[in-house]
Amino acid sequence: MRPGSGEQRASRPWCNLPGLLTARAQLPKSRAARLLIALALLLACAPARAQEAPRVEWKPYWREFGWEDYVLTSVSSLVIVGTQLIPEDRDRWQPYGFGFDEAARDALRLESEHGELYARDTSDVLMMLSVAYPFLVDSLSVAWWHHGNEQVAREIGLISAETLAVTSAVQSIVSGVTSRERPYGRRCGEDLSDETLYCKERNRYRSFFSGHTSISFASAATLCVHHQHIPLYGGGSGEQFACALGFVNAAAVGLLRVAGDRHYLSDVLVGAGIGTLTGLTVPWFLHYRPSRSRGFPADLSLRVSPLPGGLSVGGDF
Amino acid sequence: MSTRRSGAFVGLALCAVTGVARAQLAEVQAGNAPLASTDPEATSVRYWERGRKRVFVAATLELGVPYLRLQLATGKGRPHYSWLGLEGNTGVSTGSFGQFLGLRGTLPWATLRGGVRYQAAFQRSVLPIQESYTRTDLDTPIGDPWQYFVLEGEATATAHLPVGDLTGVVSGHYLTLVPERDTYIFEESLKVVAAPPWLWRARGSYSYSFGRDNGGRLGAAGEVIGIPGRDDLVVRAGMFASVAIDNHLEVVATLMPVWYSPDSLGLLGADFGQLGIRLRYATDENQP
Repeated sequence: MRPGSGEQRASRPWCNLPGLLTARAQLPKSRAARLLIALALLLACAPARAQEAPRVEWKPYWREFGWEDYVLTSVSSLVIVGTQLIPEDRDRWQPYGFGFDEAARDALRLESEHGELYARDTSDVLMMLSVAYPFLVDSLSVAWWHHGNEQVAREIGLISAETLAVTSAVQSIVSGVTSRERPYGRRCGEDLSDETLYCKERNRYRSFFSGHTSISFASAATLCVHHQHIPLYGGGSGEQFACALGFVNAAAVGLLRVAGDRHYLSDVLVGAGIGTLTGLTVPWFLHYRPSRSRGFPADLSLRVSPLPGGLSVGGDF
Repeated sequence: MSTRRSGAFVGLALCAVTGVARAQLAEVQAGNAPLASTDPEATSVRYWERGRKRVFVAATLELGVPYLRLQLATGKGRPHYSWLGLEGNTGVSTGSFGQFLGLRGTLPWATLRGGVRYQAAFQRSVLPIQESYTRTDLDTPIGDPWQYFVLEGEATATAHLPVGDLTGVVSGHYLTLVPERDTYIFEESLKVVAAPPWLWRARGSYSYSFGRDNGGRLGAAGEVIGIPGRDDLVVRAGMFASVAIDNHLEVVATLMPVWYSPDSLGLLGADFGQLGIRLRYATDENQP
């Protein structure tokens, strides 16, 4: 039975609400009785609404994760490891930041050691959550466990991994080549001991652009693409809420990286832009882009129907 | 309340129940919601309980952000449920490497384990004795990375209540072969600054099962870690959750921030030990 079809209406005539509204003469006169009937109808018709919810399924005209994607993900992972060997060059990026970087650092940086520590830790945790969420929640818990659809779970997990790997690879190359010193670096030997791990580590010269931010934004954007195509949370506002929450989380990560003196604002802004770009394009271009060669329906239909005071335009594609 | 009005409420309630039930049925018919499985073998949370008693080798792999743990066990009984045997754990995190070897006896309502653990840090050294520590203290090495052994024993008891499970854990830890005398050390397993040799821990938790085949679990936990050498305590409390995806795969998450501590270590001092997946296998399984 097609959702919303005439067959469905015929099997539940009481759910034909417009029809009922026109049959006012049959309703009792008491306002309380009418309210009761309206509430009962609303609840009794819930099945019809639920049945109309789109199914959680992998459409045949989307490209599944294939050998090319395994190669891309593996190469990206190797790049991430390989770029760790790029030596730092303390003089490559001079001076420290752009004009607005210093102003933003002064405005956002938490001065106390305690505050800085918590900003850094919180950004770590939020970034970890943004990385883990598509795998642990959307893929395994929602798609596989709740909806019982292993294929959707596998595709969501693998596509997310691919996107994050590509984003991290780009970030590793750029941060290694540019060798920008992190903002806290100038404090080494002053209020920070030169012997601390932060001051001694090579990571001190990998500020541009922010890995935490780009990963979080890439994860948020990928989450949106998944939820735009697959109704994991029922196809309603839950999908939009998950998408919005992902970006709010990513923005918080970026701000906390500046507050924790780990990055300049320009690192964060570029990281957010590149993360969003890869997070939107990799899943869409490689997987969700509809292809007629994979059975995307070529026939389009357009309907124009008159309505009182206007026109209704609809179509199938 | 008048008879007429109460009748209306009863009618409304019946409509609501009917509506909700019909909505759920419609979702199932539409393929959007799973029904609880009627196949007992498919009940993932009870899979290991239904295994045969045998001599086995079992493995548990935990992969999370950012850690890797591998447990190998051999013994007799029902693996991952009720057994007696040898257990070995290997764990790698961003801060250290650990290896545990010991004996373990597990019943459905209790577990006893004891053994020795080797722990080695990648960068952190022992700590000079002081009243309180910050993260910067931990991240400023005063020597070579530390390594030490811990003798430890642990007892767990679980009460299966009509609604949920109540679990208690107590453990004792004896740190030995610490590289330098008159120093403290950041104990990576318990995540506290320890004054060797003794540490103890008491932990209580309550969990509630829900969802498909009762495979989801949500709970609250609290723990106290005693540091006799510093005459102080660390208190943590938080939440944990898990979802048994199938017979072998589970999603796990734990977050227990610090509520009281003599130190200020940020989230390094919290038990953020699990955010990942757990895979369990054993030889001679019913459904490998």
